[in-house]
Amino acid sequence: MPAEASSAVLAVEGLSKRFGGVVAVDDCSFEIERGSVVGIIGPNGSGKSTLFNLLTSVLRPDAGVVRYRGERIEGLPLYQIARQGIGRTYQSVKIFRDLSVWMNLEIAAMGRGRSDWEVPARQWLERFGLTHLVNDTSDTLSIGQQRLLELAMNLAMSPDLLLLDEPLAGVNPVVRDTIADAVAALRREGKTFLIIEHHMNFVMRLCDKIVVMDHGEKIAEGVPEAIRRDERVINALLGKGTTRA
Amino acid sequence: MIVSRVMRRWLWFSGAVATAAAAPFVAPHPFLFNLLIQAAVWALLTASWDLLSGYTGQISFGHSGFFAIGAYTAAGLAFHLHVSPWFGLVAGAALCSLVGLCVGFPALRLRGHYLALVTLGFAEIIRLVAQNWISVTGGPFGMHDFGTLPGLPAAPLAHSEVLYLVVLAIAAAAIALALFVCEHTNAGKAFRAIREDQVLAESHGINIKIYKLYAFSLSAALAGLAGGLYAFSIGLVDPNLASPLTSAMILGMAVFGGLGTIWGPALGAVLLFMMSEGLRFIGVVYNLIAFGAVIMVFVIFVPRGIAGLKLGRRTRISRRDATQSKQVGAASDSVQQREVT
Repeated sequence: MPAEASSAVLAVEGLSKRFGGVVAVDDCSFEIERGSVVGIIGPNGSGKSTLFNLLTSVLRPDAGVVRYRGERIEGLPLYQIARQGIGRTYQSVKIFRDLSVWMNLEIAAMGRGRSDWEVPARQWLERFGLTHLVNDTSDTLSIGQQRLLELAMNLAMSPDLLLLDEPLAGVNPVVRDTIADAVAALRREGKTFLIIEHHMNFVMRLCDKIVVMDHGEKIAEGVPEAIRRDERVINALLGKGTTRA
Repeated sequence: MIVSRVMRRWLWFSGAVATAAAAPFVAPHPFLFNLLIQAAVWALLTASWDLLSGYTGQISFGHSGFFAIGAYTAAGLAFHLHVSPWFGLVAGAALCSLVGLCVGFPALRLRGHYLALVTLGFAEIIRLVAQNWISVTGGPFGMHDFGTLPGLPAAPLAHSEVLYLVVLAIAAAAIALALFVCEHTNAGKAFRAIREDQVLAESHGINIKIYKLYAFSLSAALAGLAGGLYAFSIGLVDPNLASPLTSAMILGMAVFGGLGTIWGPALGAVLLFMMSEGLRFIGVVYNLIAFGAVIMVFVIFVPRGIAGLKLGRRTRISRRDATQSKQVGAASDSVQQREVT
């Protein structure tokens, strides 16, 4: 199928990655429609974060194709992928820790060549309750505030596609709700998300589609209700034994 | 508020340079001016190192090599080709910029100790070339009698006075350039992002290869300029300029002054150099022991250096402000604490 004919913002075809004898991602394929929220779930070590690293060129795939708006992007430098409008957060919060909150945002804007970032940046800081901390060194923020700053650094730049790697990990319920509300609001505005998350309520409530991984393989893909009833998914997540061929 | 802080920084810088220019005229003496000329050269050399290592985190042990290339180029052009010393200064800096680009390429793949080792090897190559290419460099005894900057008075005191002011003006302008690039340009933001987290910097669209090479090139050019100034003010260049001891002194001065600030390492270089020279009366070995002891004390007890003393105070104030806030972020912290308990 010609890439232009697809409404997918991101299309992953046969993506694979090995580390020596370990197959971290094995022939993984799926698509993300524009304006949708897609969740990736699976047990620890199932290859979710490796998949993110392959999509954003932190790692080079051994095989497979990644198309963003119809163009192949696998193997492009990470900075070019960011400049094409793909933002991402990391499982362990990544911010510029020795720099101020505002400088973090300035750097995010500078890297992407954005000049119209200050107003949305201030809005996101206000929304996340970080306005009073703009001049503080980021390292002095709490874990939840750091997670919100990491998110604000991406959201203020209005990426077309945002990859969130466990955005709720290690944060308190207030911050968790703040993040969930932000994703829900942006989803209504038509933003596209790919989210790795272990909090099933969050995934089931917000995601249009869920991709389930286990041992590097995609074992299921579908709407939340179907995933909830899928026997293979239940076995993989609850550890009742493998149903893989 | 941000504008006033920027203005304040530049006012401080201008005031410091003006003070440095005027102060020695209270008790003018050629020896004092010669010391201050060397201090200004060390300040520029250390600031150049800070641009690369303090701002981008690319640890270089090769700045003595750039320093020597700048000195030998300026002196060699004047000695062999009778070229104007002004052109020699520029040529030395330009050549260093080019060499810095070449040395910077391994930095695209190397980090930390490995990069430091590569740059150390580079400086050692420069030292060996200077020592063995006798027809050009004068070999182990170096080069001399290549003259000084043109247009200076002949009388010893007046010569030292004018030379000092010229060297100070060039060094201050170069340090100001480094400070401007690091604090007021996108390159400066990229340098700091690279130092903090290279993967994250790339995730936000920063081409770290370009900026690393830029930092290497500019830093090497400024070190080369310092070398040229050294050559024309001291009148002797020898292979020891490229020795590891020179690089170690640069690093010590930068740590003493405070990494990643430009002005801190420049100030640290002036203070440590003057202290070292001032303690010569107790013996040329003991003053170096004192030099080392001061650096050890600072590394252990004041790791952010002189500049960190000021920055530390600002951080404490902002933390206190943060704890007084009633907004969502602070409120969410208390929820987190309740959950933990």
